[in-house]
Amino acid sequence: MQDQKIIELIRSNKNDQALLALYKNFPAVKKMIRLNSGNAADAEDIFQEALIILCRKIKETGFVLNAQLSTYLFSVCRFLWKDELKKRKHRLVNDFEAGIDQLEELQLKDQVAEEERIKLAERVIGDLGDRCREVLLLFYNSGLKLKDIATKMGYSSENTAKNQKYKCLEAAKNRLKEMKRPRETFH
Amino acid sequence: MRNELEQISIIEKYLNNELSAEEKAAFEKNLQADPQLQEALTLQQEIMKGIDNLSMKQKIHWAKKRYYRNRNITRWGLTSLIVIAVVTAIIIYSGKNKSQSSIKELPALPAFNEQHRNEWADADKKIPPQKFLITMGRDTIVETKAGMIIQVPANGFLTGDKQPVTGQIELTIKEAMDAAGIISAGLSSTSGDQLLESAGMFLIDARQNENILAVNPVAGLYLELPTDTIHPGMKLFSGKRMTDGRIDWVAPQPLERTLTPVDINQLNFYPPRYLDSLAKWGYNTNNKKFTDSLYYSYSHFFREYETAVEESRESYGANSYNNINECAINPAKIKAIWGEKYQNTLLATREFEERLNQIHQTGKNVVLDLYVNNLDKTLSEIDSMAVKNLKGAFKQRFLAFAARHDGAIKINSALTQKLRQYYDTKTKTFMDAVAQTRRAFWEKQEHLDKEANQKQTAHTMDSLKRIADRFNEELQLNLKRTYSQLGYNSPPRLPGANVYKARITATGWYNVDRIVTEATITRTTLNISDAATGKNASIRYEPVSFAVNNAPQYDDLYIYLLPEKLNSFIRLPVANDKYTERLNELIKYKLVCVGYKGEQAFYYMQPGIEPKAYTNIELQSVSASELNRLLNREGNGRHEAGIQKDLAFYLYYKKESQRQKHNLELLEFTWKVQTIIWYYRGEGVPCCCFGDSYK
Repeated sequence: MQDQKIIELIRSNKNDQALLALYKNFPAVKKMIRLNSGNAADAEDIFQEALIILCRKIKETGFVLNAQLSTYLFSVCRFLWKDELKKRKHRLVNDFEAGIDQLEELQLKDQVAEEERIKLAERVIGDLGDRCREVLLLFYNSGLKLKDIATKMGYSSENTAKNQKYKCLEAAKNRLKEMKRPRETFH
Repeated sequence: MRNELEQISIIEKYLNNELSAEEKAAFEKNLQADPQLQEALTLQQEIMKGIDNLSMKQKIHWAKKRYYRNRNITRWGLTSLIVIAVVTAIIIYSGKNKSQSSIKELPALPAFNEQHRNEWADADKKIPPQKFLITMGRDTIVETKAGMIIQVPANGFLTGDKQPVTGQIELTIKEAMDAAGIISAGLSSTSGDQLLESAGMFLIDARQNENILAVNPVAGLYLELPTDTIHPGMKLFSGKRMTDGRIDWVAPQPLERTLTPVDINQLNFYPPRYLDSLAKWGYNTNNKKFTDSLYYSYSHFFREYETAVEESRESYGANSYNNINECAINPAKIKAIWGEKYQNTLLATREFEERLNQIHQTGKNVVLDLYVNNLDKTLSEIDSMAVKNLKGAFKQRFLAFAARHDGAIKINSALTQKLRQYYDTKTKTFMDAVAQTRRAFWEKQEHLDKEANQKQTAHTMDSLKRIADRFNEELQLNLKRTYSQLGYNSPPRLPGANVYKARITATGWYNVDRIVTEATITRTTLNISDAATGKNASIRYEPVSFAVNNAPQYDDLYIYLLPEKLNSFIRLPVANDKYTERLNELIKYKLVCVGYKGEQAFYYMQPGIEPKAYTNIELQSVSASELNRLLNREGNGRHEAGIQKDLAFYLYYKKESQRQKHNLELLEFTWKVQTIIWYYRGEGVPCCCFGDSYK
C-alpha cells in the first residue's frame, strides 16, 4: 500500500487496513531489537508503541512526511528502544543511533512522555466495569451512530445511552484525579 | 442533567470543536479564571486519549494476528497464489457487504434453515450474514471479519442427492466471537443446565441457487478460530434451535488441534543438550554441516551392534548385549527423516519436534518408528500408540501429549507407503556407509601408525650409527695428532677389542689411547706428557655457540656443524635459543642452518667456524629445490645425503605427531559427545556398552 493511502486511512479513522500494511515492517524492527539485546516480546511492545505514536502524529494537523513511512516508523522504534535500553541501564552500542534529527528527537521525547501520562488513563479505563468500558469504546472509536450503540448495548433510548456515556466518563475522570493526587502531594 | 455531567458534555464539545464562536469564547474565558475547570479539561483530554489508545491497541492486536495469519497462508506452499487471490476477492466482497450493513435492515432470512426446517433462533435474525461466493472444484480458503478461517476442499459440499457440488455456491457465515457479539445476538453459552466457556459461536450455511447444501462428510470443512490462549478441553458443540429463540449447545466433540507444517530444516531434531554442549565447548553450532556429520557419524554403533549381536548369537546362542535400540535413537534414522522428503508431513511440525525431544530421552527407536510410519494418522493417535511402549514418567508425558488432541497433516496413503520404505532403506544404507567410512579411516590410521613406528626406529638406528662413525673418525684424528706430538710413528688405530687385548702390555700406548678416547668422548681439551719420550701432547676443544635471529618465529630450526675432514655431521642441541658445541682445533667446521615456517624453508651457511659466540644469524628464504641444491653443494659429497635424510625425517615426524595428536583429540571429543547422545541409565552406568567403545 502506498504511504499516502495509509495516511488517508488513518486520518479517516479506518485504521485496520493501514495497521496491517504497517505491520509488514515488524520483522525488520524485530531484527534490530534482537541485535541490540532485546527479545521478541520487547520488539512487539516497542512496535506497538511506535504504531500508536505514528498514528497520533499522522492525525496531527501539521504532520508532513519527510521520509518514507517505513523509514520513519523504523526510526521511531529505534528511538524508543534506545530510550528503553537507557531505562534498563544497558551500555549502549556505539553506532546505535536513532537516525532522526534533533528537532524530531525533541518532539518524540515529548510524545513519549505524553504517552507515559496517557498510560495512567488507559489503566483507569481498563479498571472500569466491562459495560462502561464498552460504552466508551463504542462511542469514541467504533464510528457507530448513537442509535446503533443504544441498540447494541440494550439501552431504552439514545438519551439513556448518552447519559450513560457521561456517567462513565465522570467515573473515569474521578478515578484518574484520585490516582494523580497522591503523587502531587509528594512534590 | 446534573451539573457535573453538563460540564463533561461542554468540555467534550469544546474538545471536538463543536461549540459556536460565542460559546467557545465564553468557555475559554471561564477556563482562564477557573483552575478547577482547567484540571477537568486536562483530565478529560487524557481520558479521551486513553480511550483512543486502548482502541488502537486492540486494532494493532488484530493487525498482528492477521499479519501472522497472512504470512502463514503465504507459507502454505503451492496453493498459496490461488488462496491469496481468493482471500482478496473476499475481502473486497465483504468490504462491499460492510458498507451495506450500515443500513439497519438485515437481509431477509431464507425460507428454511440448513436443516430444511422453518425454525429460527434470535441469533439467526440478529447477526448480519457474511456471504462468500465460492467456486467449487478447487480448494478455497476464506477469512471472516472476526478472523475465522474456513478451508473449503474442492469437493466440500454435496447436493441433496449426495453428488459433489460444482460451479458457484454461496457460503453464509454468521459469527459472534466476543462477549458483546454473543450477548447482543441473544446467544447464551449454556448446554442444558451447564454453563460453558465460549471461544466463539458461528453458523455455517451453504446454498446453490437457494438449494440447501450438505457438508461432504468424507472431505469435511476445516475451521480455525482465532484465540489468544489455547484452553485445554475446549470442545465443539452443535447448536439446537429452541422454540423460545435460544440455542442450546449439544453433542460436544473434542477439538482437533491442527498442525501447521513449518520448514523441516528450521526444526531441531538433535538430542537435547547436543547443540548446547557443542556451543559450550566452543564449536560453531551454526555450521549445520559440521553438527550433522558429527551426529550422524554415531550411527556406526548401531551397525556394529547388529554385527556384534550376530556374532554373540553364533558363539553363545543368545544375545549377551544390552539392546542398543533401547538406549539411544539411531542417528541414521534422524538423518533419514530430517530432509526435504518429509517436508509438509507431520514430522515437519513444532509439535513433532517437541515429541522427538522426549523420544531421544526414552532412547526407544520403536517409538520414533511409530511416528515415522504413521504419517497418515493424527499425532494424538500416534501418541496413544507410543504410550504402550513406555513406562513411568515417559508414559505420563506421552499421555499428556495424547490429551492435546493434536491433529494430522493431510497426506495420501501412497506417499505414506513410499516414505515408509524410504525410511527403512535410507537408515540402513546410511548406517552401512558410516560404518564403512569409519572402518576405512581407522584402518588407514592404523597403517600410518605402523609406518611411523618403522620410520622412527630406522632413524634412531641411523643416528646411533652416525654418532658412532663420527666418534671413530674424530678419535682417529685425535690419536694421530697425539702420537705425532708425542713422537711416535706408529700409525693410529682404533681401540678395537682385538687390538686392545693384544697391546695390554704396552702401557704407554694404552694410556694414550684411553686419554684420547676419553677426551673425544667428553670433548674436553687434552693435555698429556709422555714419561718415556718426555714430550707433551695437547688437543684443544673450545666452545662455540650460535644464536639465530627471531629463532622462536620458526616452526622448526635445525643447526648443523659439518666437520670438513670427517664424513659425518653434528646436529647441535638447543638451550634457551642458543645452539652450543665444542670445536676440535684439528677440524675445520662449516655451519649450516635450516629453518621452516610452515612449508617455507630458510637457509644459512658459513664456513670457517671459530670458537666464539655467533649471534645475529639471519636465515634467507629458499625454495625446496634450492635448499636441496645448496645442501648438495655445501655437503661435500656424503654429508648432504645424511642431512637431507635427517631433515626429511624431522619434517615427517612433525606431521606425524600432528596426526597422532589430532587422532587423540578426535577420540576424546567423540567420547565427550557420545555421553551427550547416549542417555545414561541409573547411576553413571552407560546404557550401551559393547564393542570398541572408545572409537
